[in-house]
Amino acid sequence: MTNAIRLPAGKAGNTQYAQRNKAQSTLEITVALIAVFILFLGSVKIFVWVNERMVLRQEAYEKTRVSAGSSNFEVQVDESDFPKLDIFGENAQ
Amino acid sequence: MLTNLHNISSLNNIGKKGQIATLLILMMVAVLIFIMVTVNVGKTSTEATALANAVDAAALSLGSQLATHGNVLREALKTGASSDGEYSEDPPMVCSSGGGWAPIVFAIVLAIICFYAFASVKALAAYAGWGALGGFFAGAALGGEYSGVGSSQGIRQNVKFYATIISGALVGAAGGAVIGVFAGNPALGAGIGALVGAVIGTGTAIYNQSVSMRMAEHAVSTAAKQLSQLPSQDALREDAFYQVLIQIVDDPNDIQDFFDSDDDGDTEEIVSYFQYWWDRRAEKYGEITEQLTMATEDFIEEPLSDFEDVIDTGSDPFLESLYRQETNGIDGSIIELVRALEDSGYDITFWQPGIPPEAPDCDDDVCPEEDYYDEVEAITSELQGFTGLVKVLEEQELGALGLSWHSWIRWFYDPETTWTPDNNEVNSDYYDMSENYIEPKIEDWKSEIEAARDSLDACQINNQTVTNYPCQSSIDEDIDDEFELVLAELNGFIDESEDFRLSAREFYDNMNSIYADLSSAGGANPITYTWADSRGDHSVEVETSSYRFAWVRKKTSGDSMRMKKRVCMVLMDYSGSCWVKATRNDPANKDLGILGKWNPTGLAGEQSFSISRRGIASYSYDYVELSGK
Repeated sequence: MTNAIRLPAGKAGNTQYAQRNKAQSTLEITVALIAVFILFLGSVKIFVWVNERMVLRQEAYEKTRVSAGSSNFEVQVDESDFPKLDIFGENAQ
Repeated sequence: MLTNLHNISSLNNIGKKGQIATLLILMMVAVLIFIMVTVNVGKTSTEATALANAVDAAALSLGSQLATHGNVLREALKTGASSDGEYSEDPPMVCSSGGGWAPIVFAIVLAIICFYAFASVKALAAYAGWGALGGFFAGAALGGEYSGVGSSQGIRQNVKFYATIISGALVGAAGGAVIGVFAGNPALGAGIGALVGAVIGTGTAIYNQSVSMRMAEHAVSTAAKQLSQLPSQDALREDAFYQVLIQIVDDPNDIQDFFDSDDDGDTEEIVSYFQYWWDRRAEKYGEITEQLTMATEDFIEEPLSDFEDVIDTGSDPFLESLYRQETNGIDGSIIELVRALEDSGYDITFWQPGIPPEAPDCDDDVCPEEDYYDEVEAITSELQGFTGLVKVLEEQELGALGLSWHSWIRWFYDPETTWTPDNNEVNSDYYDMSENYIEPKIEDWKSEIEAARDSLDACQINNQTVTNYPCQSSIDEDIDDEFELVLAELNGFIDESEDFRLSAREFYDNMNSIYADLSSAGGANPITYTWADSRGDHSVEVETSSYRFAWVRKKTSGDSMRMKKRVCMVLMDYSGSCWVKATRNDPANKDLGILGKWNPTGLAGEQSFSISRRGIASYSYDYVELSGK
């Protein structure tokens, strides 16, 4: 037993098959496009986040160089103000 | 192109297979660009951090060694004071009276010379440091590991490490001094103790940085030995260069070890080109050191020794002509003349007869300003100080004097300081003292004697005897012309003094010009290392500030005629700041096709992408820390 749809034979059947197939493809391509878009958006967000964070870390490091090289050995970079990774806007205020 | 886009985007074509794959490929290109940019930013950031860590660590290392040098002299002052003198801080100095300062001068010269004299001892100490200071290495290696990850941890570890070095050096100096006291030669003990501590510090610093470059242990030990054999001032600078370069240079090129750079006897192995290059530079430095030693020998044996003969130990020394019967039992030729002039009623301004009243003593630790009875005594005192110093220097080994020439030449010529009688600072060198005080004063003496002579009557001679002395050509019965004799002596001394100070300046300039030979080995300061690889041409330039070793100047007060002569040996330049700057140049705007450009600068045609960092360290004899960037 199979659940395959049995289409009527002849020209009408072929047309109907093509329409159903096209509809299926439309759904699939829609989902795929959304996925690709999300993937791309995520890539952009990660790209921006990584680079922004590197720049901020570098700035923070440069600011702590002198104090780290003095008698204050416990200098820590405060990363609490650094941007969070926010791909879907879940951290938006 | 538009058709292709239409084919991709049109839903009419979605029945065709592979459209999403095309989109994904396009997206992957974009993601690759993102990755490339991220890697570029990340590498730039890492290199900037590595540069910052390297220059900060090198500046701290340089500062710590300068601080150690200051502490060695401070210990020498203390131990010298223990025999006959009073030690005080702020600034560290020791004052002594009644001739007790000679051992202090000796202690100081010995401390300067000993610090760099025993190259073989230093090399051994560096080796010994490896075994004895394993704990140091752990912290040092940790600093090295952290240094490349963009964290301030790296520099913090390095700071701790160098703090440990300082402690080691200070403990070494103090320990050596204690040992020396028991051995009967505290200055030597202090010198050697500090020497071992400082050299262990240097050796471990090199080992730390080299671990990060994975250089062979033999290469590290060879580099340590080579550094220890350089002149003192150069060794510190080269140490800073080495530390920065081995952290920054990532030259992948190798070369056959033709000259056995790691001293393992194998000249067929393949070593990194940097290791080979550094060895060649050290070899060049060896040649320079030989030239420096030869030039030092020439200076010590001729102008310096000759001038010391003119002043004190020659056949007709100038100091003898300044003898006065009140203190020396007999008048020298100059004093004999001026005493006769005084006795005849002519008021000589640069000399006073008689025994002066007692001079004021030092008030606690503060010695009063110099208070000489007359100019003759002031100049006598300066010249005695000069000859005392020369005698101590002449006792030292020439090789050691060549390695420490930067230090002792400052007693004779120091272009960075200017002394005049109106600006009576303690940091005077003989050049300034002679040019601005001794020679002009003696010229004044000449003028005064000539004026006195001209004011006298012409001599009347009867039977080879002067009957109306003092007169224009004699001060006593015999017909010898004492005026001509004294004026010739004064002229002769002025000429000799001028010749000597010019020789000292020439020696200084010649010594510095010898370093021009380093231009073929990366340069003296800054140093530049260049290499080429698949990414293009790279270079790293490292520069250090000029810096001054701690230094001892003699400050006199009171006067020797009244037996209250005070000589204070004052520690100078024991605190200050120094910096190390490094610039890395990599290829810019390297075309990567559809992915864009590597190291984009925004300026078309720009060939070099530069990152520059500087670390500034402040130090004194008991601390070192970063104070700027």
